[in-house]
Amino acid sequence: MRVPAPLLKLGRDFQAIGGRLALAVMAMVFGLICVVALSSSSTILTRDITSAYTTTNPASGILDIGFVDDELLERVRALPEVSEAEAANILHTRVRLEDGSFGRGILFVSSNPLTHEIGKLRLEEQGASNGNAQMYLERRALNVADVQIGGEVSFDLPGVGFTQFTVAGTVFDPALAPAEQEQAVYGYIDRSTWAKLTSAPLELIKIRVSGDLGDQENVDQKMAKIASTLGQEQVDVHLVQVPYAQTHPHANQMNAVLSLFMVFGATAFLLSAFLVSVTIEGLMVQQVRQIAIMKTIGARQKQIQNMYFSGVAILGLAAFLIAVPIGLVLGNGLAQSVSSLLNFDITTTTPSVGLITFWIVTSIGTPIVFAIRPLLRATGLSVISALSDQISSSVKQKQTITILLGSGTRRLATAGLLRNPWRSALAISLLTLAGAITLSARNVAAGYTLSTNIAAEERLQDIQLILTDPISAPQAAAVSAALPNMVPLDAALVLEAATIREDGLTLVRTYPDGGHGSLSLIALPSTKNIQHHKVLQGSTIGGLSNGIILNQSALAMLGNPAIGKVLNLSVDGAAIRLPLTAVIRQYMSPANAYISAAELKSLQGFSGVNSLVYKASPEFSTKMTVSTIDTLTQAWGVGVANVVSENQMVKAVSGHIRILTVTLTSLGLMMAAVGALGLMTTQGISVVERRSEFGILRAIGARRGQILTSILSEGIVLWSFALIAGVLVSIPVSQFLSSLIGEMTFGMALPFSFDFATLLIWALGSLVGVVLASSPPAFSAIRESVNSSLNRQ
Amino acid sequence: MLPTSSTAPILSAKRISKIYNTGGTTCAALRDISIDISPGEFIAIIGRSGSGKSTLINLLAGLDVSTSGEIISRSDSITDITKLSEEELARWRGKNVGIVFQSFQLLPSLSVLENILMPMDLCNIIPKAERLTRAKSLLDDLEILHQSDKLPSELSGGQQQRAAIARALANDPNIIFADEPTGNLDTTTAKSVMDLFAVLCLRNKSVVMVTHDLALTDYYSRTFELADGVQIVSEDVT
Repeated sequence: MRVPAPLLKLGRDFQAIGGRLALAVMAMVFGLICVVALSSSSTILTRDITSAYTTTNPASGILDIGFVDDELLERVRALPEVSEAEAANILHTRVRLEDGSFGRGILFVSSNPLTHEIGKLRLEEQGASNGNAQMYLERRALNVADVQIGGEVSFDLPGVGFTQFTVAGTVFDPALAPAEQEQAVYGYIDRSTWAKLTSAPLELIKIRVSGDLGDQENVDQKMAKIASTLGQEQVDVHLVQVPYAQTHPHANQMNAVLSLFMVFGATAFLLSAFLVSVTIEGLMVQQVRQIAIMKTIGARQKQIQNMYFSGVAILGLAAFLIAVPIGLVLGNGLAQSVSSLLNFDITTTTPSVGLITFWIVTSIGTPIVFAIRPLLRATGLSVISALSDQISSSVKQKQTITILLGSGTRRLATAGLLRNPWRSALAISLLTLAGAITLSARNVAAGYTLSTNIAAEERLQDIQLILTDPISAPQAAAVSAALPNMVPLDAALVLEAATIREDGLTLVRTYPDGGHGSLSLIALPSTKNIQHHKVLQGSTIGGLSNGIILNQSALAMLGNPAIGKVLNLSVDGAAIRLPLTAVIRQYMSPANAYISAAELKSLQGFSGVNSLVYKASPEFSTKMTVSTIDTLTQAWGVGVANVVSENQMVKAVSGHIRILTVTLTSLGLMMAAVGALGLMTTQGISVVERRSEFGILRAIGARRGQILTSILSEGIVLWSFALIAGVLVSIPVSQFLSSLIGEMTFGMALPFSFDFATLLIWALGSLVGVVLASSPPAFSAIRESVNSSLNRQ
Repeated sequence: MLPTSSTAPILSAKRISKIYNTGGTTCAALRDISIDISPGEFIAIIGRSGSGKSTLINLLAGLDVSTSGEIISRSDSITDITKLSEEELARWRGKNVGIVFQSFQLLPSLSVLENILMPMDLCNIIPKAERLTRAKSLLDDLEILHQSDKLPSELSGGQQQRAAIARALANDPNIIFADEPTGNLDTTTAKSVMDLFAVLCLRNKSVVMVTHDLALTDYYSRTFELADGVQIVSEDVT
C-alpha cells in the first residue's frame, strides 16, 4: 500500500530536523515525567492517606475523664450521640532500652490491641509468647527501641516504676507519625495486663459519634453534647480531644506540598511544550515556501495544518509512551517515600482511567495547543508573500537595534538573540526556572539548617526532664545540686492546656499521640529560659507578670489573637483568663504558652515544678542524670516521665523536611535538564536559520572563529540573563516555600537563607551546560563550506 | 505556430486591477486588464521587468487577489474566482490549473514520483487506484520516468522543469500557467520545454506563459504585451 505523499512529506520534514525534534521530545518527556510522577504519587497518596486512616476506625474524639469503669462506659455507650465507645489510656512516659539508656515512650492501653474497634491496629508480626507481660510495638518503633520481637523493653508506669515487657509482636498504626521521626517508642498493651501491673484506672473514653463522621460540625456538636451530658451526671470531663474529622494528622500538609510539586511539574511540562512550539516554528520557517508550493498545486490551508498537527500529535504520543512508564516508576517511588515518611501503606499503585486520560490529553493536546501559533502563521501566509523573498519591516527594525547595540562579533551575537526574541525569551525562561527551583530547594534546606541552629542557640537547655508529678522548689534545688555536670535553668511547671470555647466546652484538636495539636502551659519564675527568643509581637519587658506569652505555634493554634486580648484557657478543669502580652519565636517547638509561676499559683493554686532543664557539660550523660534524679526523687514518690534531648528534637523534625528538599532538588535537576535541552534546541534552530547568513558573512571575510565566538556568545548572554533572573526569581520562591514548609513544621516561616555554594555550583554547572549546548550547532555551522551555506533555503 | 482558438474562453479576466498600498503610497501594478483564454491557446505575456507580467499570471492562476475586476472561470460551472475564499481558491487551482515556475519549485524532500503524486493525493480528483499509473505515465511522456526515484536536487535543470510540468499536469487541468519556465534553462533544454507546451496545446490545454524571450515567438498563438501595468497590445501570432 502506498503512503500518501503528504504523509511522506511530513515524515521527511521531521526527519530533516530529527536532532532538534528529538531534543524537543526529550524535553517534553522530562516535563511529562514530572507531571506523571507527581500526579500519580499525589493521587495515590491522597487516596491512601485517607483510606489508611479511615479504615482504622479512628475516634471522633477522646474524653479525658480521669476514671473510667465498666458502668460509666456502658452509660456513655447508651447515649444517642455515641455510636461506639471504648475505654483507653494513653500514657506519655519514658522507656528504658536494652542498653540501659532512656527514651520517650507512649503507651496505649485498650481492651485488646489486636481486636479493639476504635483506632484499629493491624498485626504485622507475631512472636512466641513466654508468659511475661506482653506488649506490641508499632512496627516503626522496633528500631527506635533497638529491640527484636521476643526482646525486652521497659516502660515507666506511674506508681510502679520501670516495668519489663516482652515484645510479643509488631502492629501497624497508620494514625501515628513514624516512630523514628518522633523519636518515640509506641507500645500497646491490653487492659488486663495494665490491671495486673498497676491499680491506676483507665482515664479516657474513645468515642465514635453517630451521624456523619466526616462532618466536623456534627462531630464537635455531638462531642460537646456528650461532655455536657456527662457533666450534668456529675462526671468530671477534664478535656475533650477532637482531632480533625476523618483526616490524617498530616493530610493537609501533604496535600499542600503535593500541590506545590504539581505546580512545578506542570510548569516544567508547559515550558517543554513551548519548546515543541519553538521547534515547530523553526520547521515552519523553513517550510513556508514549500507550503506555498503545495498551495499552488491545490493543497488547502486546512489540509496542510492537519498534516502538521497530526505530526505534532505523534510527537506528543511518542513523549507519552516514553514518559509514562518512567513517570509511574518515579511516582510510585515518591509515593512510597512519602507514605513511609507519614507511616501508611500504599494499597495500589494502579493509576485510574481518569488519570491516564488526563495524561494522554495533556501529552497530545498541550503540544498541539502550543504549535497552533507557528502553524497558523506559516500556513496562513498568502502564496505570493510566501514565495517572495521580501524582508518584513520588523526584521529591518531588529537590524537597526542590532547596529545600535554593538559591532563585530558582539553585533552578530545580539542579532542572533534579537532574530527571534520569543525564542530567546523561552531559552532564558527555561534556564531561569531551572535555576530558581534548584536555588529555592537548597535555600529552603539552608533555611531549615539555620532554623535548627537558631533553635539550638535560643533554647538554652541541652536536656529537659519531665517528672511524673510536680516537686517543690527546694526539692528541685536539691536535684540540681546533685548533678555536678549540669547548669540548671529555671525549673517550670508544665501543664496540658486547652482553649475554652464560647459554649464553655474545653476542646482541643489533639490526635491520640498528643504530638499534634497539643498546647502546653508553662509556668516559670522568670523569663530567663525564654529571653533569648526573638520577640515577634508585643513586648517581654514586663516579664511574665502582666499576662501570657505565646510562641508562634500557640498563637496559630489559638486563632492568632491580637496582643492585649484576654486568652481563655483551661488547665485541669481550672479556668485561666489573662491577656496576651507577647509572641516569641521558637523553632522546633510545639505550642507553648508561658505564664508566671506566681500568677498561676495565685489564680488556681498550682505550685511546684515538673520540668527540669539544664545546660550540660561535655561529660553529661542522659543515663546517669536520669538515674541520679530517679534515686533522689524516689523518696518523694516521683520519677522522670520523659527526657527530651537536643538530638531527639533535631531527629524528630529533620525527617519531616528531608523529603521536601530531596524532591525539590530533583525537580530542579529535571528543570536543568529541560533547560539544557531547550537551549540546545533553540540554539540549533537559530543557527540553522542563519546558515545562509553565515555563508554571506564568510564570503565577505568573516573568519570561522568570529562566527563560532558569536554563536557561543549568544549562549553566554542567555546564560547571564538566566542566572540573574534565576537568582531574582528564587528569592520570592524560596520565601514562599520557606513560609509554607515552616508553617507546616513550626507554625511560622523558616528564616530566609541564601545558599551561595549552590549558586556557585549552579552558575558554573549551567555555564558548562550552555557552552556544551551551544557548541554542536556552532561547530556544525563553521564546518560547512561557504558555498553549501549560501545554497541553503 | 499554433492556430488561434475560436471556441469560447475557459478563463476571462475583465478589467482587473492590482493596486498596492504601502506606507500611504498607492502603486498600480495592473490597471484595467482584460484577457480571454481559450482552449488550446498558447499565450505569451510579455513586457519589460516590472511591467506587471507576473502579477497578471498570479491573478489569473488564483495565487493572488485582484483589487478590482472579475476573473470568470468556465470549467464545470461559471465561477468568478475573485469571489472565492482561500480554501475555495485552493480547490479551484487543484482542479483547473497547473503552475510551472522558473525555479521549478519541486518539493526537495520528495522524490520526483512523489512530487507528481502530491497534487493527486491533495486534491482527490484522480481515483486513488489510478494515481501511481498516471504519475508514471506522465513521467514517461516527459521522458524522465527513469529519474522517478531521484530527489529533485539530483536532476538537471531541464529534468527538474520536466518534472515540474508533469506535476502541473497531474490533475489533468485545462490551463497551464508558466512564469518564465525557460529562464533558468539553456537554449536546447528551453526549446524542448517549449515543445512540450506546444504538444499540450495540441491536446487542447491552454498554456499562459510569462516570458522575456521573444525568440520563441513561433510557439505562441497570441502575445499579450504589458507596460507599466497597462495592456499595450494583444495580438494573434498568425
